[in-house]
Amino acid sequence: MKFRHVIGALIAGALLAGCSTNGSSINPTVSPGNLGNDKLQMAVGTANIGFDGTVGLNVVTTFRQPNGLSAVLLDAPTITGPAGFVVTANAPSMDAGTNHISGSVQVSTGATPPPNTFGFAGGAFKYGIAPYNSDNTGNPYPNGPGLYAEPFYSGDPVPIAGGPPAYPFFNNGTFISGFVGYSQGFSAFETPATAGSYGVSLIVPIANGPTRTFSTSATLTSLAPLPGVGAPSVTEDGTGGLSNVSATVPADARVFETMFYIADTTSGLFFTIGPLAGTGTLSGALPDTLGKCSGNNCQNGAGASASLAAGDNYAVYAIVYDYPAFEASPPGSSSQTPALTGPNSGGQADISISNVFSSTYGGGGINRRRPHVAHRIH
Amino acid sequence: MQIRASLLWLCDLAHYFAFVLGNEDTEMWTYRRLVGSLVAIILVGAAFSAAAVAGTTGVISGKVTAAQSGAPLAGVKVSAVAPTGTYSATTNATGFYSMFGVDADTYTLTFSATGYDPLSVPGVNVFADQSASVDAAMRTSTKTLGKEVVRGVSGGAYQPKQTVDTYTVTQAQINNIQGNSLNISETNLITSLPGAAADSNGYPTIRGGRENEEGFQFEGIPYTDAFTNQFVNTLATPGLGLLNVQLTPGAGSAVFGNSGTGTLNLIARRGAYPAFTDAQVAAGGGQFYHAGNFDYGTAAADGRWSNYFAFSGQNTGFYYGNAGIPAAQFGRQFSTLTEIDREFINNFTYRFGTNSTKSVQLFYDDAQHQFTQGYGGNPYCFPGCDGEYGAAINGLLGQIGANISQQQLASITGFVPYQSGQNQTLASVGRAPATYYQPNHALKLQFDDNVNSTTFFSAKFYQVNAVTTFDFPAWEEFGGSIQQGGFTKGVTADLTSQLGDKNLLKIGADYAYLRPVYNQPGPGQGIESTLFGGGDSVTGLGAFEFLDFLPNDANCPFGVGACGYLTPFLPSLPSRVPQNLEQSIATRQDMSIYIDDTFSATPRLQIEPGLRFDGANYRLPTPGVDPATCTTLYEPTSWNTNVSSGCPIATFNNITNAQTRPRIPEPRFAMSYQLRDNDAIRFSYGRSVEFPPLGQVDLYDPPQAYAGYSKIPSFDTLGFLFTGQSLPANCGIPGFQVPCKNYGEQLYWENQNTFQGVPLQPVKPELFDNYDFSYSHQFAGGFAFKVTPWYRRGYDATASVQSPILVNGQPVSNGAGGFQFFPPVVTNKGTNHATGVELLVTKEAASGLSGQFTATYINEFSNVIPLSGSEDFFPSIPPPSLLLNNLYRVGYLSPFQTSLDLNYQRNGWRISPQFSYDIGYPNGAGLFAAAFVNGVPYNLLNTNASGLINAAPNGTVQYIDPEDPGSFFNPHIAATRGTPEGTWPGGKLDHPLTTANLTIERSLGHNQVLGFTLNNVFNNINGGPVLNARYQPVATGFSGPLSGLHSQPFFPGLGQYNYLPFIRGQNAYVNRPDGQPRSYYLYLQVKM
Repeated sequence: MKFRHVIGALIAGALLAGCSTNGSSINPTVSPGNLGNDKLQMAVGTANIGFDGTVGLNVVTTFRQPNGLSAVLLDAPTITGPAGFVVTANAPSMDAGTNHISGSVQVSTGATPPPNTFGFAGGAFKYGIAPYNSDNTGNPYPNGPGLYAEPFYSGDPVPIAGGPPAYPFFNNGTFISGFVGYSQGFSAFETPATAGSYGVSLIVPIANGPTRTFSTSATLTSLAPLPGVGAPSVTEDGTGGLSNVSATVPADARVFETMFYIADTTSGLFFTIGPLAGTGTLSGALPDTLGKCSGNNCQNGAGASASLAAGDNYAVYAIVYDYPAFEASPPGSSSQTPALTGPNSGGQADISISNVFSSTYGGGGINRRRPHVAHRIH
Repeated sequence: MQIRASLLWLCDLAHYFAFVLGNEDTEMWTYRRLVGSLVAIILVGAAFSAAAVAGTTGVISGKVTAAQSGAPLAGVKVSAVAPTGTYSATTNATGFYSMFGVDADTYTLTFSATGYDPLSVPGVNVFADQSASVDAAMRTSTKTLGKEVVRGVSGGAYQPKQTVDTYTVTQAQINNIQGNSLNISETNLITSLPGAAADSNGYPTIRGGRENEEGFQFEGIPYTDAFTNQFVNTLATPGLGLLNVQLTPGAGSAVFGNSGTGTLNLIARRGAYPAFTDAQVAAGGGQFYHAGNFDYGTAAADGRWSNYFAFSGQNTGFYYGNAGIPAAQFGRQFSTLTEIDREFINNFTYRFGTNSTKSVQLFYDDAQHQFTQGYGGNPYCFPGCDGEYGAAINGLLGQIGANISQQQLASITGFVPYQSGQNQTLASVGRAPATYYQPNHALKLQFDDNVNSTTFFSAKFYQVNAVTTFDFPAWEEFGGSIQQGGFTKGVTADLTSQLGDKNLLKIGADYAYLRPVYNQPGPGQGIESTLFGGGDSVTGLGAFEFLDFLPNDANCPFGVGACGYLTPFLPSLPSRVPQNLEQSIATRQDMSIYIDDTFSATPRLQIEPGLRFDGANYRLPTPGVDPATCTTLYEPTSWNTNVSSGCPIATFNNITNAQTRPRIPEPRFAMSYQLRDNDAIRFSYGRSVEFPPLGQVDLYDPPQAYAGYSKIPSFDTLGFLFTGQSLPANCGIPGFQVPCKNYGEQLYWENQNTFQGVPLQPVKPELFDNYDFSYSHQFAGGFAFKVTPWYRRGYDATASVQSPILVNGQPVSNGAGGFQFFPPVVTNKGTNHATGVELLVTKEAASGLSGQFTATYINEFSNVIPLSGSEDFFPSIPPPSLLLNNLYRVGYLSPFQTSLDLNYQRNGWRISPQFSYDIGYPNGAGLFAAAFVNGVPYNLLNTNASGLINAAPNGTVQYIDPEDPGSFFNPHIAATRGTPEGTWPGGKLDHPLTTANLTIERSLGHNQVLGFTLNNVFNNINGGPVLNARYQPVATGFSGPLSGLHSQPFFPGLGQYNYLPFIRGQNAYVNRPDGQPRSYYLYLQVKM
């Protein structure tokens, strides 16, 4: 005997959930991957934070499958420093004053995020720690688009993401709209670094199997920061691009490469110029037509749009690396264990973030205010 | 002369039919007006339409010859005798005889002639709309008794003269299939027949058609409701009351109309002489079960009248799960707690006239079925005080930083029907959270006239009333008593004439009037429509009118100044937001005319050509722009707002008579050929039609519900919040909107657009071309088999589709990576085709072993995405899939199902096991899905990235690397659920399933039988695996701790705090061990 379908309930699919009497007690066979094939890497160094005038800790991680993609979609990282490492009081309360920088595993929905640095959202992925931990809605970016603004614990962090032209163009409607740019792999913390051994431990919580833990360590031997870099100088070409972006990188044998980052805080687009090798005056240009358009290669066609639209607020900063940061980053890097230290970095991964150039495209004037960004996702 | 006399009778009947059809109130009528109109309709066939009406009587015919010489014998008296009636005929000069209007039953034929030994042929089954051919070879009196002639007139698989593919089960066979007559499951009965299969929700389908593409009949009158074309009888049979059941897959002969993929006709028992009675009582274990059946049949000794009465009643309380937990403790959402079934039928026949050649039948069926369900929401509270409902509303408001208190929400939420207080609980008024009341009443008045030995006339009037009440007071936004169904009245007339020995001609016509009933009130929907209505002049989003119903004070969710627009117009605020109310306004007239001829070319070859015309008139308003409001009820094909004054100019080129007044010719052809005594083949082709149900065409909100606001100026509340300007909102179908004329219009269109969409959506009927071929063979010992391969092609299948809005041929962006679409409308863009093979093996025996084995193989393809919501009822097709012309194997059918129903009787014992087996149902999310990328459709890998731009119905099992996602064309998949998947949804089968029931009876003597029935012998309690919709991916094959959890606890304090993890768990697919476990009952039966 059957009850009849009510049409109104069809609209929300709230129908007859209990009528199925067919099927069996056997679910489809699950073939799990081998997490033992995943590799976690870590490198540490100093972070010279130019716009705050401080030197903090830099941590670079990769956590990859053999094919180079992120090993897992959910983990809770904890970075532990050596004796004498004390996290700044500006950090969330669970980490402030301790020797660890941590995240937590969520075990129930709707829970309030704990007062630690990475909360529930932060996890170690292919290149760095990002707020992309999965939830049970199937959304690839459940915590909202974007990457962490850095450095952590700064009063005014800056957004950092890799975009075109250094990276393949993705603003053509063929990428998911929640993807804003490629992670640069480092997590800079505005807290004093201490020489010694640092470890990173990842808890990978698994409901249908045993929870796994991955850990590794790296040693910070030298606290000497990379040289500071002033705010880049920028010349607008008036047609949507920047004809010249340049900065002077003081000589330092450790320097491997420099990248320029342009963040359009009005449109939310990110652009990257580089990598630029060496020291001295380094320069590049931002092409005119890297804005959003529709279709493959649209940026070179009639439907292209300006990289920076008139009236858009934007910020430009340079980051100097003493290790092959760009070469280790997605999408180009498919190695499971890319190099995270440079030939001259002394086994460390040091960075130097320049001061920030801010302006309004086509608006004239040079504004050296740091761009306001939303607090990092927690 | 006799035909003319017959027409006069028709005229008299026309008086009554027309009076009843045309007038529900008492009204005077005149003979001339009504006869003229109705006779013209029926006999002239000026209008064409379709009602699926078969008959309840058949024909017995044959040839009598001399056994020795083979010469035809004229003047042989032939009589057919059964408890329900007697028929007689005399052979003509060629030895041919025929009897018409023979009630379905099992007869003994007797042939007698001077100089010849009488000949008796028992066990001649007559089925509705079929001819039983019984030839006789008579020996002269000096010889010993003539031999019995056994010609395929049994109920078995071998039916050599059967031209149309039909499966008929007798009462005895019904008991084999059902176990005993306490089993009232019509689904079980249907799906035990070849060509019928259970869909994934357990509803019967015929040759893979949708649930509402089948013709259900009882006593030859349509048993489908006027609104959805669903069954009206809850798929419950009246226990004792069935004489036989006839399944006709495919088009059938020209007698069958609006039958879609097939027709099922139930025939009620008749009274007989001597009288008989049967009573059964039963009590069950394993779950609560009490049942009682009773019937009484009687007739005059001379057969002048007969009456049959049957009553069937059952009360069932359901248990679920491993421990047999009552549904109330199980907490299974929407599970049935109790079921109450009552059915009463009465079948009266009176014969009169010379030689009792005329008869009048009055058949009445009254069924009441009630399902009380578990939890449709907060089980204690109406929507206004339902915290869950408030949380859901605030979940939406919270996205824009607003919040409304539960008290505020309750103060503006309307009451559901029969609610009288804002904080009233269900318990205080004795209402369950969800109850289905499914009554149906049917009345048939049939007149038959055996005009002469070669002509038979039948006319009937019928009325079927079936309005289900879905009482869902706690269903949050759907809360209320929803009425759905309708009333159908019809008349039919059929004339059968034997033209010579070789041609059996049938002509006939039908007329039916369908008045649907659909009332769906939704107080919560009224609130929600003000969030999503789409009438905002600034953003196009919901206009937030609920703020207007609140006082403008500090409690306003958006602060002082944002609430209380209605203060000057309404006496006091808060005031309750009008509820959403959908009501049907359309009615339909179905009409048909047909001609069918069965030509017996040779004793072995029958050819049956036929032609049928079916048509329907949908009574809908004329398409156009309402000059008062400048809105339309139909989606236009063009909309020109560039006018100097007045309303926009619209065209409706897609609404023609093909949609509103379809007329469909349906050729039919069938033939049968008896190869040898025990071998026969048959073939048929038929075009069939299924008229769109009114519920698919009419989605209209009555504007009268908002008439009280018609004098209040329109006010775009949301626009005011953004801009501070007081502007009218927009009204009309999205994409074709104008400023609202007043606040009532504004509320009306918000409700219409949010929940129903385009108000009226006429579409063409769906057509099918059906082909089938059968080979049958009978063996010694009562075995026979029939195998039937078939093919069906469907055209213009109905499906809801959303079309993208194009400007200069380019899609319009929605600013969020997607594109804008017109609202979904029902179209004829569905397509399907199916092939299959049916097998029937029967074994007939009066004692010992008997039974049947059936097997059905179906391979069906459709452009509806498998496993999508309502796939085999009112489906929808995502635009990219449609544009790519994707075809999929349907997701609601197991490709192969079998059933074995046995009966063993000996020495007072009867053992009757029933087995069913299927190879599994389609499952799986699929690896690919269709989606738009930059306005162009593609078949893409189905990942959690493409899921945001496509309409993959089941979710996904593939997850991108969020740091290195790749493009939609080349996604970088970092993890999967680790399960095998097919290319498309439903590409894998879940595991095979065997179920069994067993009945054992023992005759106690004194007409008493004691029985025991064990249901679900193998204790199958698991539903098929379903994709876990709350799955947290970690790595391939590994899920995270949030898997199965919901952000809100369901049903706290009711045994299932967090209901979802119990059923969803942490696995990629979850299985619900919540089916009904093994149960049993004892019964006592008395027959006299």
